[in-house]
Amino acid sequence: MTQSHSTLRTEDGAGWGIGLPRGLAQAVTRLAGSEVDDPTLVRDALAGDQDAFAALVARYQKRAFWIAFHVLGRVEDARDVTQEAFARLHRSLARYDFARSFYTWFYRIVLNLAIDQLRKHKSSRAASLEDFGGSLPDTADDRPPGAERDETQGLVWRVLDRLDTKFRAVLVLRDIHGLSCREIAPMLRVTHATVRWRLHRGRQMFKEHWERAVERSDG
Amino acid sequence: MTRQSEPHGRRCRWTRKRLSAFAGGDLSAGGVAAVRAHLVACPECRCELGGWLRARKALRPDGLDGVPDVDGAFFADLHADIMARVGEQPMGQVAASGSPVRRRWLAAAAAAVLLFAIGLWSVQAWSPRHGMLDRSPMPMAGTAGPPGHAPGSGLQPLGGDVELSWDGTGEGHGLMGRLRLRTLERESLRPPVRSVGEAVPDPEQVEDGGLSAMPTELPATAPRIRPDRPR
Repeated sequence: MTQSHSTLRTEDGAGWGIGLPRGLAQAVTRLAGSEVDDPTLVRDALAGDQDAFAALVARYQKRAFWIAFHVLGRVEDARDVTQEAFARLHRSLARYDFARSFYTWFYRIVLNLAIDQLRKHKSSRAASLEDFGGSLPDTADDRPPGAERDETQGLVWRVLDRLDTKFRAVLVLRDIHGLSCREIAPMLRVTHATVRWRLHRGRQMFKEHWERAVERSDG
Repeated sequence: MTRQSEPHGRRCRWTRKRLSAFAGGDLSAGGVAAVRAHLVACPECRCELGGWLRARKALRPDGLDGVPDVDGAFFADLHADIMARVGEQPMGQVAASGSPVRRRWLAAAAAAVLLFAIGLWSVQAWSPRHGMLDRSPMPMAGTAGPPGHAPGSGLQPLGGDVELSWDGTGEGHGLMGRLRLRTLERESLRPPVRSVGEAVPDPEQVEDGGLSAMPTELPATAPRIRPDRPR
């Protein structure tokens, strides 16, 4: 499972090592893009190899950021959560259970931090629209290219914001990030059946809110 | 009854319960086939499926990932920031000693166990055979109560002639007081200690069977003994 996921990250991991010193960039690119599996990188990092940890960061930072972003809806918050998640990972790397999937363990850290942050800033969703190009235009004629998509995204965030955190987390992980229910269950520390039920309820609520929001915006 | 012969409403209910999973790709192959078969014949359920698909389309990852200024340079900066931050802290610091919350819980649990053990020891150590919980009731001596009072009103604890008071020596108060009281109980229950040279009277040698040694005035609550009746 870990290996296949690592391969998946390799495919969208172009540009690793950008902005790093030349030697480190080469090492990180080599490790992050290679078939070196996660447990090996963790072992090397624990042995003091900083390049191995840099490779782990390069391999998982995008996914961690997007999970945090889809839960929080704000770039700055997602960035802070991603940084904090890797800092915690670095501190507690010795606690990693090699019998389990690394990314499940790490995503749980990211998700917990994002959910905590979301609870703190639950009402700040309206301000997040600035991440999508500022205020929404009033008429269709004035819309610049891509504005319709921004508007749709703003609507999606508003609908997501209406959902309870536990439904929203499952919806983000399953429908946006494509993780399976069996992968999500250990991340949220719930059973597989609970994930399926939350997914069903979350989708149902999202659909109801979405249809109402679209009707209102069309009207 | 097979599914094909089921009433239309029941088949619709069965299908609509599964439309969310059908649109999300979470249904088994058998479920997908059954839902498809119903959708072909039911325009209402097809319309319902349209709503599910539109909601699912809104959550497409490619539609939500298009955020300005989040590109390769953004992630390179993020990587550099993360590595700079983790470079300031030693690796495995928390793992070596546990999280602060866990440490606090462990310390509280250890303190509670220690307090309990000390309490148990302090009770048992002073009186190994008579713990605080299994102590027998205090023996009472019967004396004649004041005239006009109910029988038993003159009962006094054995050893009750010792006045327990707080005199600053630690006796007669709290645990020490209970200890002293218990010692007095034991002493009062022991047979009288005679000195080495003192003769012990033999009850059979005494003419009246030792009855003369009995007190002439028995307390009102004491059992009566008939001298003419062999025991």
